[in-house]
Amino acid sequence: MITNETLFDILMVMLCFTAILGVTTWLAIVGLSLYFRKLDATLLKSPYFNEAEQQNYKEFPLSLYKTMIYIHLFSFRKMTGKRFNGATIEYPGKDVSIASYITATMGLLLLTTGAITFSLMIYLYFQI
Amino acid sequence: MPKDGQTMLQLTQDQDIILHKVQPGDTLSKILFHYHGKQDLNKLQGLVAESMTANPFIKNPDLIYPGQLIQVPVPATYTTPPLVAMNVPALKLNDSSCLGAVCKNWNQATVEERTLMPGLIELSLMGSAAVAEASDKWLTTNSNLIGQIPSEYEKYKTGKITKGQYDYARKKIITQLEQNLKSATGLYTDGKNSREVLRVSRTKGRAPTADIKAAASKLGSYGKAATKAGYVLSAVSLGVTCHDIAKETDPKTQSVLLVEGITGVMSSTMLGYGTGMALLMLATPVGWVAALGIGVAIGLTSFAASKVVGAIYEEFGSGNFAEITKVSSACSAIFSQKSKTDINKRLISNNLESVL
Repeated sequence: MITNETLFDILMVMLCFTAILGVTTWLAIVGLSLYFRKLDATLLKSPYFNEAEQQNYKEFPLSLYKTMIYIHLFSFRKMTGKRFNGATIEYPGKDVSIASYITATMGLLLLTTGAITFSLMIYLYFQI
Repeated sequence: MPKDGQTMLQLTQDQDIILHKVQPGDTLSKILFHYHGKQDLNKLQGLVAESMTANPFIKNPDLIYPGQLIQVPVPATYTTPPLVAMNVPALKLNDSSCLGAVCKNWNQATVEERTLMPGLIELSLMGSAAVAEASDKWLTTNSNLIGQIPSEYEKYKTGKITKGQYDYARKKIITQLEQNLKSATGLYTDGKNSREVLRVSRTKGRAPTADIKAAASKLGSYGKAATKAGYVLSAVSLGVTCHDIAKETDPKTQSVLLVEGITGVMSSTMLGYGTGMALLMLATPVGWVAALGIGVAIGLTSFAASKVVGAIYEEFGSGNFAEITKVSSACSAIFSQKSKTDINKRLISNNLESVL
């Protein structure tokens, strides 16, 4: 039988791990956003993005959302939905592809550990 | 030198002394516990005796009054919290209770300089007396003018002047009195009229709203800077948490603050990424209003989550998490600053002669 004290210890470990993972993931996204600026000329245009998006996504913080779209375009393309359906995209290179895969995987891991941490948090809160 | 019969605390090399402002409910033992932690009875009695030597005005260790500044012997290893933690009031230059040059330097003053403040109370009373004297002088110099009002009224009542002549004379006297009084208002307003701050410009060749526009432009640039500051928001929030930890002396509260800070970072990064992913999979365009709304929602949720984990830690947490992770000592090293002044010079009793 797992006691509340054990769950609390697990929560603390998950909390620290998720916080570190979260900061690392966002640092990677910020780093890639600097590189992805040069792809705007070929990707940030119709029909992939509408006119408002083309304006808004050039500035922080929406530029980070645009970076997330590019990251998934170069890694798990299916996750971008119908935005790039049928489009022929020229991939920037193997390095960018690997960096995108790593960042996207860290992001998915962040969501998983975050969900577990939140569940533990809520469960323990109601045990008080 | 101390006066006859007055003892002076002799500090050893492993001792230091700090000034403590007595709060409601404080006793000498409680204050010593705050700085020294739990001590055995003999050691505590020794500390009480030392404190009473350093503060000769304390006759009963259980009878001290809120607002009193007392000198507390602390271990030399004790790290003084930053000045902001001492809850020193930030005085404004135009505050009517301000003492000019004293207030100008108050926020930058060292602890030693602030201990001189009680000696300045007499000066402040003298200042008040000077203001009263100035008022009296104003009344004296304008007494003739003031006396003219009833005199003109008597003339009107006896029919020597008409109602119009009386009104004219009265208005003229009051205007003159206002003029004379205005020179005195400079004492309270630093020589400036408050309306000058946001006035409509009447300078030739200059738009009437130019001053207001300049002020608005300044505000706009602050707004832009604040947007750019979004890049460092996480770092700032961590910095604030670190500052709070450095200022806090209770290990449990330090740990709760740290856990709350970590949860805030965890929640905001995770929720931010999650929201991004949801929007990405839906291929939904996001505008500025939506981005602001999402940002506020994430901020509020993160705040709530940090409070929840803080409450969980208070219930289940044991051990000093802030100390185990070395965060409390790191934050203390970053934010604490110790006075370099020789410890014996920090005793009020050693400085009494220079104050009086």
